Amino acid sequence: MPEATVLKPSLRLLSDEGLQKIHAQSLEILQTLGVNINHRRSLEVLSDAGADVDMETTRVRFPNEVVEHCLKLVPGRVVYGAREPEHDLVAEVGGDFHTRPMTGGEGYIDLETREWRKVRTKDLIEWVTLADALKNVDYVASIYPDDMNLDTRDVHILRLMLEHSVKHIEVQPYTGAGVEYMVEMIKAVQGGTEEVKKRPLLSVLTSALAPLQFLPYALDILFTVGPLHIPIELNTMPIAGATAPMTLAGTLLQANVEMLVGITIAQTAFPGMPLMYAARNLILDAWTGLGLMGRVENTMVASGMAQIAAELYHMPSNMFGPVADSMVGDTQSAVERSFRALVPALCGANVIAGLGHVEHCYTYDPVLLVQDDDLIAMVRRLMRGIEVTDATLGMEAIKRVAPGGNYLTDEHTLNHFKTEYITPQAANRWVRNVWKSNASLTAADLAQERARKILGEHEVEPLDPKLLAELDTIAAAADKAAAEGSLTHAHGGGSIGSLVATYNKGK
Amino acid sequence: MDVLQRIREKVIAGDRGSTPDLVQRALTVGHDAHTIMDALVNGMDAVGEEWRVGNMFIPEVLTSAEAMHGGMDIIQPQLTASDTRLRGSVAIGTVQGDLHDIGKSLVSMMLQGAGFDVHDLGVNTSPEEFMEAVKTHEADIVAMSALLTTTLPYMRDTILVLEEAGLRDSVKVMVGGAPVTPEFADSIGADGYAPDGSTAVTKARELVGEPGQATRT
Repeated sequence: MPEATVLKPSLRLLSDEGLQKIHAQSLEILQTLGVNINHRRSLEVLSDAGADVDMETTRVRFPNEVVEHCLKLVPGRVVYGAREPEHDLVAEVGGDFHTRPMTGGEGYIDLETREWRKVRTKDLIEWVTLADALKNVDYVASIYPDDMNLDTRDVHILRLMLEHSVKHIEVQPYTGAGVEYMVEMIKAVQGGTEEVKKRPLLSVLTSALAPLQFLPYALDILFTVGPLHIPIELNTMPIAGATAPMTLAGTLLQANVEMLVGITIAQTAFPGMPLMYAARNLILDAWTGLGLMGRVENTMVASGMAQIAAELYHMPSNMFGPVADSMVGDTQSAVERSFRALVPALCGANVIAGLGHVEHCYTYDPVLLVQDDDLIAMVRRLMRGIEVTDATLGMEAIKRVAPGGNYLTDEHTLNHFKTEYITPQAANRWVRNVWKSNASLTAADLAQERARKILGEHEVEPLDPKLLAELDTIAAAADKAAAEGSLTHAHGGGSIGSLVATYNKGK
Repeated sequence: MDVLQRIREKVIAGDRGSTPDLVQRALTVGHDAHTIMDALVNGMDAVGEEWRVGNMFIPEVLTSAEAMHGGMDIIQPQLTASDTRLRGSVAIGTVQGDLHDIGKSLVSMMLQGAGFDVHDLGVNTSPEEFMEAVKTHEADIVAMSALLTTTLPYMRDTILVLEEAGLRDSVKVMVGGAPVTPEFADSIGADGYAPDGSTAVTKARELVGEPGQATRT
């Protein structure tokens, strides 16, 4: 009975009473104030389900029972398929957490020059290759090259990611229309809709627009992937003090309302649809006006969100992990990332997202992605807890060796030295003189070297050339539709993540 | 598989149980002791290389060393004293006044694993005890360890005692331990310094004129 010997580490930041208050006030806001949903099909299905819909103003108010009914339909378990089934994942309340890299920014730190620039297509391939190779990056997520046609970029991104990774793929679509072509690609790779439904190798992110609004493109995404039950990372990005109340609890309350709206639309239109509770939070910096992400309070809100998802709604959550405000991978970055990765894991988050970035989610850094591989290994080790069994206690070993003696070659040492401890892949473990004789490399130097090594060695099982050709045909069809003007940006011109990033950039 | 090849594999696998049995069998089927010793040492060299590149770890290296020595014990009666010196003879100990054992023991075991004939003098070893051991075992290397800054002067004293006994020119002196620096090693006239147990083997092989082997990187 190994379970009985390990206490799974856990932490709660919200009391039972606090949770219930958040739920009760969320329902009250939904019923009395309502939200704006600028999406015709959503308004129709919500109206049919008994919501109070004003088609003119797009304001929707939700009777409690409509929301409560939908909450019962949300699965507690989400399956992420992968091109190689060994990388299939299950996100499940109470289960172990999984990880993905950051998605949604525009900048890239060049691996060799370490200079900032806009993301290019070759960076996408480098990023996906690293994520595919790193053991503690469980699935891959898209980054957004600046040198692609913006109208069909999502489609081409997916095409490249399918080629360069065998892990599950998440895309944050920047248009609603392109998603149809993405779904076609996944169907081509998985050989039909049944396999997609069983273990979808694509998931998508879609988002509310705080406070309490939904844009058309966000719900276009939901309605396009819904019939195939492709999992949605249901997102919102309120900025406390700007687009959400200034307080931690107020941010939790408003974000939860936005989550409940997404859940209700999804479950009304597609009962049983897999969803991840993936609210984010930023904090208005009262001096610079920036929306910050690396503060301890960001961590606290994210951890509270994980607790709300698991304890109130029994649904898996996806929370920001190693996210920082620093411009480079310095000490500030390390401190903020450590806090942000560890605490949500302790609070039961099922996906720790946002690996490998600097500058509050605006810039990707391949060196930090490699460093986060080590950070996540540490968090995973901690979450495994302290195993207390006769074997791990080693009383027999103590009797064999002590008093005096040493354990260097005792069988107990041989049996446990590899399994009991993790070994960081890009960290210094030397005395000073050896370190100096090895060019005094910093942790970042070691991570850079590890990135180079991975990029030089990592091989991805190639896709069948016939299948690749089929994917290219689908991408070409999207390009043609875009050229003819039948594939257009929806309102907003991008994801909420990019809006927030642009907002930050303009400050 | 040839029995000699199996001996080599068992050493690499750190199989302390069956290595001596296989050595016995090799003798029975007519292999001579020197050939068997070569197989044991060859296995240990492979272990050293695997460790250097990061594929094997110290507990495994030391276990392989124990397996090799288990085999050596079987063929010992048929070997001459000079045969068993292997790479060279080392007298090792923690210096006078210092009771810290584990760093010195680790180096001692690593040196044995690398094929040195190691005489571990234990802790609190006086300069005279080092000197006597060098005489008795015709040591090629004296290896001294200290953890306490206060016991460092005994390293210098030991070198002086070796000089007075007329042994200094025939033996190499290497020092190590947390408070020891390369500058200190130079200042007392030691021949070598190793910052940790891992690099001590490389240094010892250099001191006995083995072809230089790269430090772990």
